[in-house]
This record gives sequence, C-alpha cells and structure tokens, in this order.
Amino acid sequence: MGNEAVVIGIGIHKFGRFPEKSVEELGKYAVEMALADANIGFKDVQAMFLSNSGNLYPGIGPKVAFMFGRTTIPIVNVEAACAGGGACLRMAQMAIKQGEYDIVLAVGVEKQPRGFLAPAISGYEHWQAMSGLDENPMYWAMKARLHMKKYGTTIEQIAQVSVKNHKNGALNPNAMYQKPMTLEEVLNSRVVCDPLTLYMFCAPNDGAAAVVLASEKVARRYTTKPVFLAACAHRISPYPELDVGGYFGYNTGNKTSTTLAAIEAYEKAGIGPEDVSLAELQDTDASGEIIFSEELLLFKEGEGGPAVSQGLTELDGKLPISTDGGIISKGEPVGASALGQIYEGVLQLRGMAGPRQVKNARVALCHVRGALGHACVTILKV
Amino acid sequence: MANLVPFKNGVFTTPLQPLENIRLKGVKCLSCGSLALGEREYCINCTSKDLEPHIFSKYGKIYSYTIIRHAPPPPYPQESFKPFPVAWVELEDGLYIISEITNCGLDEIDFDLPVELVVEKGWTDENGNDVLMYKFKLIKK
Repeated sequence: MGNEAVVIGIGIHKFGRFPEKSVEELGKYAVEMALADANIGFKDVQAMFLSNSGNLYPGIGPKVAFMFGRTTIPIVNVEAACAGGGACLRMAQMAIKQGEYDIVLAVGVEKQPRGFLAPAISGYEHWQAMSGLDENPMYWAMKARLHMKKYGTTIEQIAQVSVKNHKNGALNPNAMYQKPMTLEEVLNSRVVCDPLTLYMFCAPNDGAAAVVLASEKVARRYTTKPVFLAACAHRISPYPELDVGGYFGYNTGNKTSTTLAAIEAYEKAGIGPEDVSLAELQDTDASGEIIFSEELLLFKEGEGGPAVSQGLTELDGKLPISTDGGIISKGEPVGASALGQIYEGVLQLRGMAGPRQVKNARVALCHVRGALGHACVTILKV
Repeated sequence: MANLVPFKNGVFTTPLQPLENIRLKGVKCLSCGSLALGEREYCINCTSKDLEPHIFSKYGKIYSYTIIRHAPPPPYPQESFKPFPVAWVELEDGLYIISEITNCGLDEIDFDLPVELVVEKGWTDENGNDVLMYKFKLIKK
C-alpha cells in the first residue's frame, strides 16, 4: 500500500454573488458539505490549509475552522493568485504523503467585488495601475492575437469556447450563469480588449470549495468510491512572462509554467496526455482555454482552435473540457476556483455528474493559472 | 517647477533632462545572453551575477496589440478615460516591453509597425512631483 492521497470528501458553495454571506460563512458551507460527503466531523481533521487571495488576513483559516468549534490542529493560509486552490491542495497532499497525517482538509474561499480585479491581487506595481497597464484582459487579448496570427486560430473558435462553457454551465446548479449563449451573442457582446468581447471572459465573484484528503491506509473506511490524487504540480513562470503582471521580456525559449507543471504532473501520475478523459482548464478568457489546451500537451500547438470547432472538447467529444461550465459560467472566486475544478473532477470520476457526465471517465486533469505564472496541474484517477 | 521623478527607479538613464535624451536601461547577461529591463544584481533568466549594463534602442516594432476599451480599475483616473492602444513592443535589441502606443488611431495599430520611445509626464505623485513615464509613438512616414 502506497502513501497516495485519496479524495474522500468534496464540497462546494455555489459560485456567484452573496452579499448577505461572509467569506467565512461561504467556507463553512463548503467544508460542512465535504465533511458530510466523507462521513466525518471536523474533529477528525488533523490539519487544514486554506486558500484565499483578496480577503486574506492572518486568521482567516482558523476563523473558518472555528465555525465548527475551537480546534488546535495546524491551519495555514495559502496564497498563489488564481492557482491558490491548487497550491493549497498540494500542501494537503504533501501532508498526507509525508506520512504524518491521515485526514487533511483543503479549503478555498473568496469574496470579490464586481468588475476587474483590484490591481494588487494580480501583483501590479503602482505605476502600472497609474498608467492603465494593469487591466488583466489586455494581456490575454495580446496572447490571443499572437495565437491567431501564428496558427490561424479564429475569433469564432474562441467564441465557441464560451458557447460550449455556457452550455455546460446551464447544466451545473453551482454555476453563476446557467443560461446557454449563441455564437452571435458572444461575438456581438461589448469589446473589452480587442479582439476579445465581454462574454468571452469570466467574472470575479464569491464562492468556496473544500476537499477532504485521506491516506490510502484509512481511505476505504470513509468511501466506497476512492478517487486518487495522482499528481499535483505547482510552478511559477520562468522568464519571460508576457502576461498579467509582467511588463518586459526576452525570447529565452523557456517552456511556460503551465507546460512545466503539466510535464511534472504527467510524470508523477505515470500517464500521458492521451490518457486524460476530461479536463478543467483556466478559462479566465475563452482564448486561454485554447492556448492552455496546447500548453498542457492535450493538443498539438495550433490544434486547440480546430479541436473546439470540431466539437472534440464538448461533453460528448474526444476530450471534454470545462465540463462544469468553466469559470466563464461559474465565475472565478480566485482562492476557491481550483478546488471547484477538483469538485467537478471527482464528481465525474465517481460517475455522479448527472447530465454533464462524461462516459468512461477514468482520469481528470485540472489546471489553474494566474498572475506571476502560478500554475497548478492536478491529476485525479480512479 | 515640480521635481521630475521616474515612474520606477533604475529604468531610465540620467540626467532626466532633456526628456528626449532619456533611454531605457537594463542589463545583458554574459552567461545566457538574456536582456532584462532595470538595474539588477542577478540575471532574471539564469540567476548569474555576470551582468553588464545595457542601454536599449529607442526604436522597435509592434509585437502584439490591443485596444483598452474599458477604464482600468482605480487608482487609474476614471473620469479622463478614453480608449487607447497598448502593445507589446519588440525593441531592436530584442527586449519586449509593454507600452501605451501614442500618435496612433484606434484602427491604425497593427503587427510590425515601427515605434519610437518617448518619455513624458505621466501623472503627479503624492508629493507633488511630476512622474516621468515611457510610451512608444507610432512612426509615420
């Protein structure tokens, strides 16, 4: 018997806007659901990691835990931009693999105002904010333009990602937007940063998600459908990073943080990209899903766009992507989004994703990517 | 007259006047060959300390671009916002740098167009100093 971490419980608080609820209350909801799913109480948790970005204060992790009564277990807050939930899960995984704990909780919580993220969340300096160079979508727009120029990716293919994700989101009760959208609606929505339009973007919002991990030794006591956390890799960007927060670069030929994390994750899980049954990708904007599907080696360079137009990434396609609607439909509570992906991945591998169920799902890959190139690739297996 | 201060230390050559003589400066790594903006002790790419100062060419071309059509979040002044073009500029030396593009209509911007560095007052800081900011302007024939 190895010391792999096993997911025994998952919980989520719907992603959306909940002005009546505190960030700690959102966390409590997700944790309660995850504990119930694992058939345990908070008293059984031996260590906890909590991911948050915009509401971070030193006591946030313990404050969420104290909703269940005082505890003395170690609780540590984790921040890694949009990859925070992935980094948090990795901490929990390491705590299990290291052998000291048998039950560890990973929680992601976030509450964010409407509109663009505050400059500090993405790590911008004051001068970038003062000169208007701190609008995240401009970086994705320029990446999209380069991809279109280099590979012939079309704006219709990019819009189709949004159509697909809204279609999947309409089947997900935990998504903020549950309404299908036509290609014309996406293409004709307001231009934010050319060539990307409003409905190609995710919106920052509120939400929480929680995952209970157990050691292989005890997992069978709690679940009849163990989902193995086969790999969780976390990398940040090498030089250059012509993306959010970066302001200069040089052509070094380095691989991106997403590719580096993917290679590490495939190796740790002992699988290749061809073994992936479904993937949850960082669709902060629709072009990102195409670009990352290539950086994750799921499709060859330049084939991410055609894959979308050929329907390969639809629920019944060869490689379904963002089966829960992605953050384009769910919205992006930064600290919680990665664990929201794990929630979907586990549901799919348990065969409990209802109308979104992918046939014969055996391996789920979850990818988040944020400022500074923080990238996490998680591989779940049954 | 207000004092002139750079938008960030270690990025502009000095003196700061006349403005047209200011260039962007940085380092070249003698170990891996990478260029980086600003003074630094370690190579941003390979961590070597074997660096030499480098003054960048004031000329470059548009590598990729977009138009900012929605006001950036505060503290960017919301009331004076008008859509403007932004680009990754590729300097002649090979450095990429993000910049607002001036002297350029919203429909005029395109890949590979030639641009030139300009340094001008960007905003006033909390001490009343004029903050100097770089931009790149489209070179028109």
